[in-house]
Amino acid sequence: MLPIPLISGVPQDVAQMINILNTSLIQAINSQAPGLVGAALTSTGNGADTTEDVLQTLSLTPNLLNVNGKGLRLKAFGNTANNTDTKTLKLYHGTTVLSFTLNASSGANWYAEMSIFRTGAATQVAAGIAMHGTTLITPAAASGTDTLSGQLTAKVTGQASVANANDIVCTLAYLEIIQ
Amino acid sequence: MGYNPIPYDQDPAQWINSCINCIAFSSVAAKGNGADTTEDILQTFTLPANFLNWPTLQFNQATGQVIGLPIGVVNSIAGTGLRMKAWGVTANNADTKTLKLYHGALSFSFALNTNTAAAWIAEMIVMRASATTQIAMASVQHATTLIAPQQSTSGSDTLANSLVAKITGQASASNANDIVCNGAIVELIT
Repeated sequence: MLPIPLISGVPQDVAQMINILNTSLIQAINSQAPGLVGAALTSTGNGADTTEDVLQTLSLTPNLLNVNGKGLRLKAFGNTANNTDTKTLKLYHGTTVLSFTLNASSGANWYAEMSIFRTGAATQVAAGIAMHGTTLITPAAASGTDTLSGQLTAKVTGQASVANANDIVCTLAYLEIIQ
Repeated sequence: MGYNPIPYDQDPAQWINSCINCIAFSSVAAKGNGADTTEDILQTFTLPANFLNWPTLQFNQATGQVIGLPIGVVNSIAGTGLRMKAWGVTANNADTKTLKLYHGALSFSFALNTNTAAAWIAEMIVMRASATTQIAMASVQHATTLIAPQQSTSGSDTLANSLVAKITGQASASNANDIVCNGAIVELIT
């Protein structure tokens, strides 16, 4: 059930009613409903370097997780090059990070998911899974200490041990709110 | 959440429901492939026009009605998507068993294990990239085997049209119920 507040007051005309509905009711529904926060649809790979490269970024509005128990689910998928470079995939919410070492020597698709939940105004718990080809990567977990009233970013990064571009490509990432 | 224009026409509850993440369709009627070697539909869902392509709506103060723009005339909520999950079992024989997941003309094909009577679970995510393009991925687990996930950036269905999401099964020998789908759901990501 959505905790949508009741609207009080009596509108005087249609225009005022529209304004009330748009600014109060609809925004309240939109802010309280579970679902898609954002999606990054441009396929991006790591650069020809050995540094950690941002593949997808999604900006979060402050206080998106405003009640303990609310959470976010970040999902992403892509593919890797078939070479022996070490390939590290990371999923972030603010400074909370889950790291997965993908298979080397595997030109295969990968799929990863991170769930993060608010436990306090500045504390979070997170866990995630990843699969790469036919391999289930060991799940990861972490605790977060980001201040949720601040501006945070969810992102997906890729890093290769050799300066080969597109060792890790992220085709798509999207973020859902769980509330 | 957030980005769908929710109007206040005669049935706002219906619109709100249609905009919130939810199970849009489901079936728990178990169905297996027939005693043939053709591709058989195990579950099918007819998605309404604009299922991932919400039309922009406008309130007409003169008439008090909500006006929808003609089908296919924009609204750009790129990222709106759906998630289809399906599950079932396979027969313990040596027949080749092919499971396919469809969204419109986009499909993913998985070869399930042979010689194992075991449960399988499949997931397909389709995201709207534009009114006529989709990005999608799918994964399947069969017993303890993780079958390699697949993806596509070339979905080209026109989302203004009604589309079919379905699960099919095909066996290499004419044995019924080589692949049984016990249920499936289609969830909106919006």
